[in-house]
Amino acid sequence: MDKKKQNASIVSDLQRDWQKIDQLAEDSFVNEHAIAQEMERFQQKRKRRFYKELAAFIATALLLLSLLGFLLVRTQLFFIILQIGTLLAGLIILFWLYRKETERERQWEK
Amino acid sequence: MKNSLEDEQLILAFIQGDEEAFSKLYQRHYPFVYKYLMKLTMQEQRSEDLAQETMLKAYLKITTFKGDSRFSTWLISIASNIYLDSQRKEGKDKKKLSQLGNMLSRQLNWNANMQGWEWSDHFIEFNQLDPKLKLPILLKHYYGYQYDEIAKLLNIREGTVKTRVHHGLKRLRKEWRVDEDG
Repeated sequence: MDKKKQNASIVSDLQRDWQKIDQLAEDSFVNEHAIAQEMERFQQKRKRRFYKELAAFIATALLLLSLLGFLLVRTQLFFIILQIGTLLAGLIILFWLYRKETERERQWEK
Repeated sequence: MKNSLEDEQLILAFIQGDEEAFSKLYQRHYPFVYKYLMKLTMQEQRSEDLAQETMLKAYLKITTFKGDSRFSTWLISIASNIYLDSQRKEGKDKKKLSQLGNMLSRQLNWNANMQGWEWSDHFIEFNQLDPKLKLPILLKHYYGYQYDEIAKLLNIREGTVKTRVHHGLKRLRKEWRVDEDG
């Protein structure tokens, strides 16, 4: 059998079986309650994503502010204090996000 | 066409803050995404998880939908990437995955047997192909996408799509010939 005929036969077999899969999956409709639950989950995810972005924004702003402070005051000590402050703030935010995430995971597991 | 227009209206309404609009999109497109993933994974639970992940990504990234393709095409693009990512991640524990895959395939086989159906040899071999080869074959020969559309969908070059379809079919031809000879 030449290649074209073989390909046609393969594709035709595959198409027939993919149609069977479609028919078997026909019953997998989603009810309104399940959709409502999913929508709630999506909203929570979006909220979390927003807070994460906000935290990243605040951390960046703090870093830029500290750099600006350094440029304005030009004091080494002031710069170091600001850097340490920013680092600590960053760590606190990160720890806070981590705790929220683990709490959420624990809730999901329950 | 009407459906497509309605999709656009729902997307617009959702972007403007109407959460109910996305529920309608979910209800309309989830079965399509699920069936698409079923043809790739052959596992009910996994397809369900990946379809939910796809809908979540669509929910979060809806503003990036440009409207230059159908919404369902955009969802296929997201689902394909999520499927390939999951394959990459799970590739780390291949043995465990293949055991799970066999188990769930049996479940699907059982459902098919209840209907009096049998899977063709080509189909069984297709499911053992590399996911990168499976995707373009499915999109081309079942969903009817053109090579350039598949390239756009999967974010690869058109030539790569053609090569993958060609290699995939070649491999199936080979397997088939080996089986016949054996």
